[in-house]
Order: sequence, then C-alpha cells, then structure tokens
Amino acid sequence: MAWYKGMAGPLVIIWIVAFIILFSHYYPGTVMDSISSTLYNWGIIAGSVIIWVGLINVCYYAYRDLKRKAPGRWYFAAFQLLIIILILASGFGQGETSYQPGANTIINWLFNNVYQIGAMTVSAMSGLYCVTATYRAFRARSAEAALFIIAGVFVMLRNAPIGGVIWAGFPIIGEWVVSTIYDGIIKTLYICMAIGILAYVIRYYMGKEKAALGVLE
Amino acid sequence: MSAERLLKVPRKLLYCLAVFVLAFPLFVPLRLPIAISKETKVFYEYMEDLRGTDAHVLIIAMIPPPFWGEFRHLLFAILQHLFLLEDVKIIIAPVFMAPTMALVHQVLDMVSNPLNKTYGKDYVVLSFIPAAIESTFAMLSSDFRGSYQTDEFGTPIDELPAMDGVNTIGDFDAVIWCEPARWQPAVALYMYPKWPNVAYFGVLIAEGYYFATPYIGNVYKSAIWGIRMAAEYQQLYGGPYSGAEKQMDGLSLYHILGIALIVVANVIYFAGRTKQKPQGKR
Repeated sequence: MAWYKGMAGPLVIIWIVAFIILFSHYYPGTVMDSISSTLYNWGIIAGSVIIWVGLINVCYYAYRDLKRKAPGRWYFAAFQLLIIILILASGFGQGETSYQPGANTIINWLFNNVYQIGAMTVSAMSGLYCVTATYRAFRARSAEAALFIIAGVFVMLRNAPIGGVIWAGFPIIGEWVVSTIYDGIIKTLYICMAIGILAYVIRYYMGKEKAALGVLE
Repeated sequence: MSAERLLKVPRKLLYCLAVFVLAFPLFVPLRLPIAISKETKVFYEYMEDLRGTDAHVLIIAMIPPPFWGEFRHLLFAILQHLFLLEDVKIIIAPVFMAPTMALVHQVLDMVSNPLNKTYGKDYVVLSFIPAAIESTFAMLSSDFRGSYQTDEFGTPIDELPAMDGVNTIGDFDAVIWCEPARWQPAVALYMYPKWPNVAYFGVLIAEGYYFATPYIGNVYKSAIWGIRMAAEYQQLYGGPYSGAEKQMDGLSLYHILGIALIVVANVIYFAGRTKQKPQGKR
C-alpha cells in the first residue's frame, strides 16, 4: 500500500499545517502569515460544510427513528423533521434575507417566539433549583462544610447588589474569597488543562489519536 | 413538629417562595440601594474617558440564546453609554453563533433609534464569521481588515465612514469581548500577545466571572458580569430606571432568601441534633 493511503497521508498534512500556523504565530511578518491566513479561511469554509454534514446526520437519525417507529422517540423525530423542513423551506423560499433580524419570516417568528423563549426559560429554571439546594443541601455537618457555607454566604453577599449596602465589609470579604482562594484554584485548573491539551496535541501529531484521523479500533 | 419534618419542606413551597420574592418587586418597586463594584467603575471610567476623542470601540459578541436575558441588559447599558459619549464609533463583530446577530439588532434598535444614531457613521455591524472561536480570534488578530470585506448587509467596509482609520486590532481604543464564560481566555491567547497596548474588557454572565478573574487586571482592564453590573453601569452613566435596575430588588431579595434559608435550615438541623444527643447516650 502506498504510504499516503494509510495514516501517514493525513498526518503529513497535519504536520505541514501545524508548522505553518505555529511558525506564523511565533515569527510574525514572514510569508507564512498569508499562508496561515488562507488556512484559517479554509477552516471557515470547512466549518460551513460541517454544518451541512451535521444537518444530514440529524435528518438521517430522525428519519430512521420515524421509519422504525422507535418507542418513545418517533414523535420527537417527526417533530424534529417537521421543524427542519419548515426552517429550510422558509429559508430557501423566503430568500437570502429571511434570517435577518426584523424580517417578517417563519424563521424569525420561530426563533423569537419559540426557541429564544424556550432557551431562556430552561436556563432560568436552574435558579429555582438553587433555592431548594440552599435549604435542603447546605448543612454544616462538618467543619469543612461549615467553612464552605460561610465562604458561600460571603460570596452571595458580594454578588447581591444590597450586600455592600448592608455592610461595606461583605463585598471585601467575598472578593477575598474569590480573588485569593478561588483564583489560585482556577489558575491551577487552567494550567492542568493546558498541560493536558499539550499532551493530547503531541499524541495527535504522533498519530496516536487515531479516532481523529478516522481510524476506529 | 419535629426537626426532621421541618427540614423536609416540600420543594413546591420553596419554589413558590422564590417566585414570590422575584415577582413582588416587579409590581411594587422597592428601589433598594445598589453598591457600585470596582470592576464596573473601572469599565465605566475608561469608556467615559473616550468622550469626544473620535475613538473606535470593537464589540466582539458570541451570545447563545439561553443567556440573552443577562446580555440584553449588559449590551443595552454599554451601547447606550457609548452612544451618549458622542464621537465614539462602535464596531460590532458577531462571531461563532449566528443568533448573536438577532440580539445585537434587538438591542441596537432599542438604543440607536431614540438617540438618532446613523448606521455606517456611528456604528457598524460586521458580517458574521461562522468559524470556531480560536480561528476567528487568530484571524482577527493577524488580519482584521482582510477578515471583513463587507458589513452584515454586504456593504464594502471601505464605504463605511465608521471604519475609517481601522486596519488592525491595534487601531481600536477598546475591545470588548461579550461571551458567557468559557471563551474568556481567547483574548489572552490570540489578541493580547500581538496587541498588548489595546484596552480589553470582558462582558459575561454572572456565573461566568470565575473564568475571567485570572485575567482581570492584567489582560483585561476590567470585566463586568450579570444583570447586577448592568444596573450598576446604568446608574453610573445615569441611564433610565428600567430593565436591569428594575430587576435589582428581586435579585437582592432572592440572595437574602437564599441566605435566610441556609441559616434557618442549619438552625433547625442543629436544634434537632442537640435534642437527639441525650437519647443516643442512654
């Protein structure tokens, strides 16, 4: 088998692309800049194509569920297909500007009156769970838990607009909890994440992350 | 009633209490005072200094619809203040999530029309870049003008007076990155190393500030988050008592309710435990 037909072909492309982008990042002002810029543009085009691949994938699985009348799922699949067809028909039928804000189109109506409201409602629901959590879960069963609750109360009083009005010290203590204790932890987390990403990238460039190259073991 | 039963209050009752606390101030405004935070003050003062300087402010926005509730108020406050400053040109670049454009226009309609601001002269909405955050930021950082040939409506950006004198990120007097939380490091990774003299600001959701705190004061001059800071900002520039400020009573009461519930639950818990202890010894 020719060398480029296995994993080596895609890996060579990845190495070249990575070299150009890294070179342009660390040594700006060379010819690599324009090549790197073109590569980013290619990335955008590939991203747009991937959206279509995703759409085909979603349609395929929804259609399959509908055809098989998958128990507990087929009606969701039917609804999903209906919405996809409606949006595509509206988009293609009502023209290029149908998605633009303010346009009186089916896409905009669905987006403003169904999706936007639904998404915000689901997001806001978590606030209600927080209230039950404060009453049912925040118990000072141990010294550590008590410390955790006290720190939490100070952060709450820092976040509440009235906290600083009740006592000017609340935001200062809350800020200390966040900037001194929390910041150290989050910075450690970031560093660990960065090391993890670096390790992954090295493995990827060495061809050890085969799934990314389309090789399933 | 035993402590155990008191601690097992039905959730529905707590939900009703929470809804009441949030809804009551909407009908009967209490106008509880708001303490202005340091971050909002720094943000506001920097923008205020741009008054009359013919400055260019770039707002890069990636706002998923679940967070529009918070971002609507934040964007409203920032845009209204910048429009009131006169001579400040606002360039808005929606990235990564296409619905961002809808929110941007909703807020612009609310803010620009009453102040008679003209599209193209006072503000511009650039075309949407449907790419990952990393590549978008890297691209904007290396070739801003090349990344945008036209605005959102297809007009070449060379024909827009607001874009005069803007060729790179370094030409902006301030860059504001609006995004819920996780992508705050994008500025630190892709823009700050190349353009360290630009003033960067973050705008994010209330829970998201944890992601930005390591960068505030070094990469970011400041960052504001949540409806609360939108209300603080509105207070600083003297915006109308509406939107964010109206919700502050509810927010304050909701936090106080949370703290009260923690205290009550712990008092009941310890009272129950002290009662049980002598029985255990027998």
